[in-house]
Amino acid sequence: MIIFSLLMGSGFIFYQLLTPPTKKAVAPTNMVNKEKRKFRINGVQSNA
Amino acid sequence: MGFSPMHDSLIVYTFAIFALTTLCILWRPQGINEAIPAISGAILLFIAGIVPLQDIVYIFKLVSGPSITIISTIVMCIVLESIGVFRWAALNVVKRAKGSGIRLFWSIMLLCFLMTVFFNNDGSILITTPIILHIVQIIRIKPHQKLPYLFAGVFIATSASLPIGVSNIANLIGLQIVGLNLVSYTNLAFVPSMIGIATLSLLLYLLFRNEIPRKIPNIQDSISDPTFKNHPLSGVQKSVESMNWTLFRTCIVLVVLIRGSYFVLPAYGFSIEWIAITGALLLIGIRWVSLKISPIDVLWKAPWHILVFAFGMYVTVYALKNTGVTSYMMSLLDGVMTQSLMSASFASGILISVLSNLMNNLPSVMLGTLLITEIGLDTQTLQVAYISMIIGSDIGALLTPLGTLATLLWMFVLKKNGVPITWSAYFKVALMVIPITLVVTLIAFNLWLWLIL
Repeated sequence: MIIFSLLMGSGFIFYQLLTPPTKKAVAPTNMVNKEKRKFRINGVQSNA
Repeated sequence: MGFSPMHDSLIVYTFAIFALTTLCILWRPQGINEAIPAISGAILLFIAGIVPLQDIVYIFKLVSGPSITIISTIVMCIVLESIGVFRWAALNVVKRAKGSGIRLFWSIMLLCFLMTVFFNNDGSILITTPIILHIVQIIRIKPHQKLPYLFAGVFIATSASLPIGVSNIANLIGLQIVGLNLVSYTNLAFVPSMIGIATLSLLLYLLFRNEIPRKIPNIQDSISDPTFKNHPLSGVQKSVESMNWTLFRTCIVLVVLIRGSYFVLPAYGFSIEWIAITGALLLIGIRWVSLKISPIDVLWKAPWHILVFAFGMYVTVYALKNTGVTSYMMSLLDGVMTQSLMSASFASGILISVLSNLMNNLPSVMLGTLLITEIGLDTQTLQVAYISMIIGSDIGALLTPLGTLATLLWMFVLKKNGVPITWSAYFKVALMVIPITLVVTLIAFNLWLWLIL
């Protein structure tokens, strides 16, 4: 079980080394547009 | 399978076939596959009656499982390569170095170590050497500054087949003969081999510390640089954008889980080769479903010749045993092998290191395993001698390029990519780090035995 745990730990490092660093979440374009519409409906100037 | 005295001409014939086979495997005239001389030698020895049919059947049973395991592992490597996993690795390792040449040096060693642990040593060399070549091109360093990264890659990738025993076909074949399994092997070998690898890494760093550039260009800047468009990694950037990240992550997780299951599932009656086959089929299936890529390319690219090569090589070595060469060597080593665990360990490790550098580590380990089983050692000494031989085969064999097929492969890949390294240049570096690492690993192994036995 110790060997298995060590391998899983090494596997995690391997995964981290190969995969790209996590990027900050970015709102999809359709969500941004939806928010813009909501602002316009409420009569508020949008800076988005 | 027993030894029977042979006519002198048959002994000379066997030695000639063995020498010629080994020479052709290492030299590879006209670039022939190493399996061709190996199987040709085996056929000639079988025809001459030096290796009878019952030995042939025994050898086939012995090498087929480990060969299938290694072939399946390389198939997994091929699948991952085809979906772009390793092309991304080059870019990512440079990014993670954050502009530090020293951090890049350690990252490359970590990558090579993990590649061997999760795949195998030859696959690791074949995959990581082009990655390192891309990296040293991308950071645009001077030719002499490339050497630390290239040497660190090959030395760590080869020695990393020591800790868990499943990363090298030579290690796998002998396990069953000396009554070890992967778990008992790892219990004995893991800690000392990690001490050996840490020593090797440190020695490489100390040796190359003045050549390693302190600062390297930031990868983001390099790729946005318009003059960088024709760089080999410009293709990587494109593949990164179109990468299926879910598939990418699933495949890496699967590879890690398959490796882990080698140490758990055999206790429930599953054999290692079947776990490896299942893993390879799973990866092929996932790729087929996700990317609609049929498995035909894997059938073509899979190194089926490994089974033929290992079988042929083992028959050739077995012929030496049948001529009585192991009995002769046995009479020379008998005293030192039975004296104490430490003397058995050092004698085996140093003997295989010397033999490997003369005739490659695969036949050396095969011959050594036959030798120690014939001496009639008790189980504990037999297993200690075997692991010491593997230390000699995975570390001591690195002293010259002849020692392992992986090193020869590495030199070939470098030459093909316009970075030729001469045998003397290789030897100068190896001489500074390998003998010390070998001795430290053997001492660590004996201290570990003293602690746990």
